[in-house]
Amino acid sequence: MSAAITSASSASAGRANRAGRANSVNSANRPRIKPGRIVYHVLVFAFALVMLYPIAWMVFSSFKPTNTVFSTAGQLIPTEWTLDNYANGFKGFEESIPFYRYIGNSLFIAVTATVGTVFSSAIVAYALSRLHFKGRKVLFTAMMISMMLPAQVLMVPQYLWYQKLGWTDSYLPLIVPYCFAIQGFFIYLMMNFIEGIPRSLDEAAQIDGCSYYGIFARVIFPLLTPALVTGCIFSFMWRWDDFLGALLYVSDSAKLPVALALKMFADPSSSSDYGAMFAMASVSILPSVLIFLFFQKYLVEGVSTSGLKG
Amino acid sequence: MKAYKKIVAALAAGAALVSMAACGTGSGSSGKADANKITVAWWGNQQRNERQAKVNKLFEAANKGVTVDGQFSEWDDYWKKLSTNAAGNKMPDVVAMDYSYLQQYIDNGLLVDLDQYIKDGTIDTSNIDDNVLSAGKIDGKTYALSLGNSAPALIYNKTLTDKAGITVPDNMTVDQFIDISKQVYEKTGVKTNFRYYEASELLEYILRGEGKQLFGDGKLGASEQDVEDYLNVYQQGVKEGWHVAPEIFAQIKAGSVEQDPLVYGTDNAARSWCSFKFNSQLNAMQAVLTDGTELAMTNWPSADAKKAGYVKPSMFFVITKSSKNPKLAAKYIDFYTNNEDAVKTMLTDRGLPVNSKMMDAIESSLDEGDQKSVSYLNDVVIPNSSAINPPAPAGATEVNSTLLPSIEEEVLYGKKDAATAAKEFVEQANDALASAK
Amino acid sequence: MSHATATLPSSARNGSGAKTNGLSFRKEGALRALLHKESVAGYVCAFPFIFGFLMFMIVPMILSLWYSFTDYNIIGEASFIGLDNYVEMFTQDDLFWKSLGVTFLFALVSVPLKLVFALIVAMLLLRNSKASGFYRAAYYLPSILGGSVAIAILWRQMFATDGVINQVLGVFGIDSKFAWLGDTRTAIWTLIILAVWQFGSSMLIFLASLKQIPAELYEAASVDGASKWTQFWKITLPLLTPTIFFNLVMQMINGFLAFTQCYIITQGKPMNSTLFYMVHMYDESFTNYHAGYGAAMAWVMLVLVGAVTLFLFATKRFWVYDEEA
Repeated sequence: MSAAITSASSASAGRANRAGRANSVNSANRPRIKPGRIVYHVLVFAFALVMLYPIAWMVFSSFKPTNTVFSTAGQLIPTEWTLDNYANGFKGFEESIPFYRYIGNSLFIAVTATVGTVFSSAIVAYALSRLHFKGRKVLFTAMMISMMLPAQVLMVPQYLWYQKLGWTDSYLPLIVPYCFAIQGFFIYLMMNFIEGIPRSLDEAAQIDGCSYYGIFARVIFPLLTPALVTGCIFSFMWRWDDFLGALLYVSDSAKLPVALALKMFADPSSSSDYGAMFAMASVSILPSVLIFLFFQKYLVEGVSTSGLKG
Repeated sequence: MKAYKKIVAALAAGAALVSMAACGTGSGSSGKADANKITVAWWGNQQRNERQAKVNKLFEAANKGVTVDGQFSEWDDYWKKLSTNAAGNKMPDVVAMDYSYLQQYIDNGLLVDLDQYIKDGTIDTSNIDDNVLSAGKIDGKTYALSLGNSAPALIYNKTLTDKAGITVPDNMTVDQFIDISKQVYEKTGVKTNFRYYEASELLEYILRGEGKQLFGDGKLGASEQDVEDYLNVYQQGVKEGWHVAPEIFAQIKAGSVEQDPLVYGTDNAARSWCSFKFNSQLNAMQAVLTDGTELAMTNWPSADAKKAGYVKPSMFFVITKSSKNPKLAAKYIDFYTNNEDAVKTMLTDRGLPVNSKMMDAIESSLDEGDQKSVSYLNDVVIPNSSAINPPAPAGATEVNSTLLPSIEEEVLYGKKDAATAAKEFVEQANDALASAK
Repeated sequence: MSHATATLPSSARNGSGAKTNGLSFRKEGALRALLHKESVAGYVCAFPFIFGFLMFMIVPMILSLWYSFTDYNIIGEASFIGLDNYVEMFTQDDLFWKSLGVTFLFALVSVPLKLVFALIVAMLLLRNSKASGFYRAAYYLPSILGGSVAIAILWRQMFATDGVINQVLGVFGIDSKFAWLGDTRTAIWTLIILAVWQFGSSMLIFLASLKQIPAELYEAASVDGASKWTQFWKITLPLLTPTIFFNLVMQMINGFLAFTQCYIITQGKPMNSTLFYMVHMYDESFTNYHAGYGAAMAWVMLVLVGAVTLFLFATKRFWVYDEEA
């Protein structure tokens, strides 16, 4: 292991000028051997299908008559196709509130909280990994500890606290805390990426007259794109799936997010409409999938160099 | 404690200030008592949500200027939310209440005594049977009003038993039940589920048949021998092969109607010819069966059907102490119970209507399953029943949801014999009941 | 953490940018100078977290710590009982030890497996081809489904006696009626498989940081005639160690705090052989209304996870590549 590190650091001696980091690894050197490629595609594709089986199962189930979802759980393709579940699902629970309202609510919450999280976490991560000030380690420790307490145990105390703030019955607890980098995960994620950005870039920018804020805005932030994109994907997905917060803080049924609304198709104490639930669950994973498809190409295309000019 | 409270108060003040500044308006939605607004919370599925929302609209239409906010959740979430709201003294005005939670909420002083509203006529109970009313009475005070009647029912696969030439009589004893189970197993290979992993109602029911009460005053009313007899059914069933193996229960969601061994599973070893449920669940179970199988029901087995049988309030409405408009809340409950349009909207969603006049009014519009439900209640249960046990004390939830299922599991897996398991269960249950007091 | 940032007097370089009116110029200049001190800039940039933590985290944390010393049933008042909860946990609660064991097994097995999978797939998906967008989505999608009801139902079905897994075994001539979920030895593995199957987020982080490795390193290495295999061991892996470390720490924390898999699929069955610590804590808090006890359990877990994390940080210098070292 240590040998590998030595060799890596000697290799990294060649990194004095890394303006070309935009190039991605894969474009560097790939021998084009045809049979290998075919084997590669067959394997990766086959395994992808295995990975996708559960999603396919859910989507196909949503086209089965709702009372056969369980009895035919072993078969993927429905014997009898129906759109009833979608009709039932979109109808929602109250005449005046169609199901897409919930999707709209979730979009609002997830997008605002995600934008807030990603930006605030980026700047905090910059402070924690690049700037030197008293209490930095304390902050880092606080951040780590805040990740180690489970949400379930904080639920009641948090509720009492937000009630004191007068924030219950509103979206505020679902959005505002996230705009203040409350999730240590994102700070730590960005810190990890910032540490991968060579400090010589900061120094160069500083010599060019950049302030600490300027370094963040012009050097770090643009180079952080992969981390920002990753953060957006995660944050959006997590906010989208979160129902615990909404359960406590949203009391107006017209303002429910979709994650919570989905649960209402099933009630263990009475009967459940699993068909409608799967139909709406299939619809509700769409935004996360689209966000992923949209952002993943930024992961691949690499980082724009435009930010490098101090 | 004092210092800590001060710090919290100071932080709260500071934070509220900041939040006000940060958000411009602040957010004073809480606290303002709107004299014409009530919030109603319940658990349930899509059908109930739809119907209840309609009832809320009807109430608004009947009372000009009044708004009803409906909050619905799924069962687990519902109790999580309600308890958290209770911690913050911010419960909805009217909440649906289950018999198993009722005592706890009363003990903690969270519910309003409804007698005052019954006395002044806000809630009209003249068409409600006294037995039904008394289920919501604790220590002489009415805290809860039942929303529907249901009763324990052994739902079974009639097509299967008919084919095997077995008749399932009403008012069976436990031994008779075991006998039938064996016959079914021998003739068809289909097994039996003795209400495995689902709370203690069956144990309670069997004890009632012997004139005993499961939850006594702060301790278990059942002796080790009683529990052993009960656990013996499992032990015997697994040994002789006619009880569904515990492994099967690990692949289904316990308590779920759709995955009950009575209606789910292709393999005979995973199927049960019967299920210990409530009469209100017949329709839901029948709906899952698409192959023409017919379900029927009878009462649960016991030594004495009359002593054991009872009519159970399917759920209650209660008014909470946090309510700013208890009077309006009482009016809502009255409307829900006595207004013909409201009852006709809900139909049998929460069991059969408690108001006997309303029961007559909707009888003609009931479907086949509901009619079975009605005749079962009227013909089988009511002639053979006695008053329901008082609501379970705090600590009973732990017995129901943790202790009993895991002890049953250990017996079914053969890790413990019935005698050892019974001894352990009685000890643990008494501990739980004592510590919750 | 040592560092080599040149600490130039930054205030010297900022006068030119001032576009303020004459009156407040002096004051503003001083303010700017202050703002451009490194330590001040640190506080300014860290402000969102400082504020967020004090405002949204610290009070609930203290409250929950307080509850851990009380008998608290959520709907009533909390009454102080000292260390009773902790004493009960260590001396009387068999399920505490049982669930702790299950959780350790789950975390220590699922996390490394998940990371290895994530890394291998990330390496495979680095190749750019027309299908790579699809592939990435396909491998990431399971994570999107998370802990939904659909997954719960499907997982139980797949591992049932007549489920997909046994059917597949049948194709290979193994006639099996084995109840994977009903056996105390195998049930936990179905949850581990679920956790490993959802490796998408770790994979994504690996993908993103693989992009950060400068291409010239590989160019230089190819010129020197290093094989791809050598390149992987000498360049990719060492430069990826910070990310591996990050994923390891995060996944370990998540692994110990795992809740969903058990809660939606097995609920501890059979015989508590799959009972996660967090599910036990949740049951105590919200089913049995022992919220004080639940809080105590959470704080014990915090200490344990903290210790594991500290241990991981202590090993960091032996295997994690550090640019500044």
